Amino acid sequence: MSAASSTFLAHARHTLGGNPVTLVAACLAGLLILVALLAPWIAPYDPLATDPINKLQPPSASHWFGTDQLGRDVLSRVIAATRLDLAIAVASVALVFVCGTLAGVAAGYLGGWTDRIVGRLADTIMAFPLFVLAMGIVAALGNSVGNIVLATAVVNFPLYARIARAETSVRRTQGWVEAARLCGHSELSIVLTQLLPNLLPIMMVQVSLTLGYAILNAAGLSFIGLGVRPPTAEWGIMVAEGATYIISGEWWLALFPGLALMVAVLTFNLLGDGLRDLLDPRRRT
Amino acid sequence: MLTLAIRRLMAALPSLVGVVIVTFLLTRALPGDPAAYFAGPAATVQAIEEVRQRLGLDQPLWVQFGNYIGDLVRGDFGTSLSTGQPVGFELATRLPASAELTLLGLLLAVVIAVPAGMVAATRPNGWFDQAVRVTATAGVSLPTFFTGLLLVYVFYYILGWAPAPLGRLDIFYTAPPHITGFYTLDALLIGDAETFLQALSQLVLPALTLGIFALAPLARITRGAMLEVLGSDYIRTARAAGLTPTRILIVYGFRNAILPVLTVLGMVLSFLLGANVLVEKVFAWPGIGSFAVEALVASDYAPVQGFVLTMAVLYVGLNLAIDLAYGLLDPRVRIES
Amino acid sequence: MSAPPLLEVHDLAVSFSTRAGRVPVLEHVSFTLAKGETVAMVGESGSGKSVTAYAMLRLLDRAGRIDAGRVRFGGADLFALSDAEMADIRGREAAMIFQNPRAALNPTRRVGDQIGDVLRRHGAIPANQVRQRVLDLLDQVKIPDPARRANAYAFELSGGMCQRVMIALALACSPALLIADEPTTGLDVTTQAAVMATIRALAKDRRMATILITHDLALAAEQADRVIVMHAGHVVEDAPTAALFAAPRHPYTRALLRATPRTTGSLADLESIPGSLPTLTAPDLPPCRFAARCPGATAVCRREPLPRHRGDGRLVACHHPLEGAP
Repeated sequence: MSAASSTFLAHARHTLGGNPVTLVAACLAGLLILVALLAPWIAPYDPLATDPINKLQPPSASHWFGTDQLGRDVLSRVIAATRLDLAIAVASVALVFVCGTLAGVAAGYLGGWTDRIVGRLADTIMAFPLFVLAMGIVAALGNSVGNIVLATAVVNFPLYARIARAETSVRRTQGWVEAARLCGHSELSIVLTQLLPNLLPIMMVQVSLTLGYAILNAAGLSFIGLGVRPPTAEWGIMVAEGATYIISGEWWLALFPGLALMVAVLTFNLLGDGLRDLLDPRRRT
Repeated sequence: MLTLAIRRLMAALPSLVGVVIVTFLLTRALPGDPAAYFAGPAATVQAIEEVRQRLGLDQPLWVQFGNYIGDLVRGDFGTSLSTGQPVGFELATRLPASAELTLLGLLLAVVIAVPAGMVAATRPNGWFDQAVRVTATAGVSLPTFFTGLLLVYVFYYILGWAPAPLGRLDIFYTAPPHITGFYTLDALLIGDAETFLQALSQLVLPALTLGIFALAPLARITRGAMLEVLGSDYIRTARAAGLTPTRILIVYGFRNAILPVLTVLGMVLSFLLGANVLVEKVFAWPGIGSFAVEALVASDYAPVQGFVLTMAVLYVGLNLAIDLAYGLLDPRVRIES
Repeated sequence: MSAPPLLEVHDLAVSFSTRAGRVPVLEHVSFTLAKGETVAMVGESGSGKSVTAYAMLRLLDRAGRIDAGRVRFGGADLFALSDAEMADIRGREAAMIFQNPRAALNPTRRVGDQIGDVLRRHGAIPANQVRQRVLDLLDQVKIPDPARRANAYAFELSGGMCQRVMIALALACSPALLIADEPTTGLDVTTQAAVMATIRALAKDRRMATILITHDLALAAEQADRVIVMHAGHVVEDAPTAALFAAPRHPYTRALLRATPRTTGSLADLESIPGSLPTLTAPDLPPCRFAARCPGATAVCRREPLPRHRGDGRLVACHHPLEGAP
């Protein structure tokens, strides 16, 4: 095992050495998480405090990202939003990671009706343009942050279920699973000790890739007025509010939250690509 | 070919049924009591009960489902509370605007991404390849609404090249007569160059916004497919036979690489139809997406449900079309049916 | 020799760039081929047979690079030609067929059209006769019902049929040289024989020179006038077929022969060749790349450059060539 893990580390070093982009992405992801965790302490101002005298100020030494139409500090709001957006994305990805993986493993391991039901469910979700389905779900269930989390998880469900199903049905019949069965392990313990640990690496790639998509999805929903509501600081809402001012030249209102959003999505996309290369060098593109 | 078409149609049916069931369930999942909601905020308990009976909401779920199907078959999507018009009518009049925008966006993406991916594949890891990869990754990470705003800021506010992002036509112009519903096409058909240019200038930025978003997956898959095809044995045969590089690239390379590209087109369309909603909001584009967003904000649910169903049915239809195109292009699928 | 040879490969060297750096895949490869002659190129997988052929026709993929050498073909210096001039020669003067014929044909183009592409490309005949010529070619390679088969796609044909199509495609413009790279690998035995018979008959008819790349010594013995033995990117022996099989002079050739089953002799006499092809990335590769596997290797083999003497119409690249019977 130590030999295997040391070759993996060597491979990781090789891949990261040859691919500094992934290294940068990993650092950026760490930075984002740090900002999200420490948001209340590192924001220079109260993200909700208005200051009508200093409204719509361009970026300056005291307000690095300028102020918005109510005089709120844009930097502080971007920082506060980092916390909320990442929380939404992480919550929805965690939800779909658990539900999707379990459903996929069940479908792949049990086959039969379970497989058909999970497959049909995934197909039905995939039959919708995903963002539109997310809109429909939030509209139907009610306009709340919880429902954004749920809707984002639902639209990602087919991805997780399918990958977990495919990996499980391949591994189910492999020698080492058979061997475990012959040794008298129960089916449940085989799934828990033999299958799930082997699924984890490929699922982690999906986690990173879908984190980016989840952020995009949540921000998009907020942008059209679903979920998070003003005056809460959230990237999508801030861009939506800034949109009104961009055609009169006050670019900083929309630019900074938009950039933050972009950097976050890019970070997780690049990280996901890098992780995939790490796991499967053959598929590198 | 006909059997193939019929078989694909049958394969699409379960998706369609699933879509209808999900939209039905979404209508039942309205927050609070749908009857109270449809009766309006000032309704009495008795009025709510009347509405409940009139809408059939007191019936068992399967009867309600039957009624829902019946309504759909008659093209009855309910009535929009905010406009007072039937939702079906509203959607039908706005659909061409959305379709014109989405199709042009897709066209732009394909026209840019496919050749770029092809060229990138001929020199893997060259500077052009790297540039395509960076642009593509950045493009897919850009939230569409943000891209749209950036384009507006640069091309409208700073450069003044583009018109204000306010719909399909400047208010001083009248819409061309309805032939296809696509303003640019209709203006061309009646030979009105000025209206055509006006409509086109309004269309370019939102279509570009959509195109940029769809660019990344298309360029990426074209590059990957092309790389694989160019490394294949039959390309080596073609080179050994002395065929010209262009012919090898197009007839032997692209003709085969297009198949995987077609497969991801479905996913790209899913992105595009979703992003369409956001872009329509940014550019005040009077399509079905902005209609749904306005209805959402006004808590007017019938249009939203009609919109979700329309989009899903369109998407299933488009996927069917892609499937058929695939069958046409790939002799292995065509002949084996 | 009165006439100059059709093909003259001189001191060819090719390297590939890999993750581990540049790997010298071919070194000092030289041989000639006369008009109408059939030469077999034999050796283990990875010995550089195919790379030699690809390098000659400048078909190496991006990772491969020609480092040195000259190839003269029909009076032209192939490495001095422009890409377009080289493409003019490929398919018209020098053609190639490959193993795994089904994968070597375009899956989305009718096989008749693919042959037509070659005819049209090289302007061999007027456009309105292309179709008829395609059918004639298919008939020549003994494909039954050419009119129907011309409209088929590769996936609709058997492996043997696909290889016949490949032959028709390669011979469409009556080239002076045909390179057949493992043309029968992957085909069943009767099909192998039929495909080889077709190639041989057509080669004879047209006085076409043929390079047959194979790891099958029996096939080489049967088909070729001369055999070139390759090992780890070197030509180790080059001799007339009969002489080579009667008395191999390079230890590797002898080892190869001893590892090949014969109709006379028992399976117990078979010997495996010790070791495997050397790793070409190794920094301290000896001049003789067979030294590590050779029973007769001495310090000289690991130190002195290989002698490459030609005499009696044969070449042996060895410090201690064998004499007498195997």
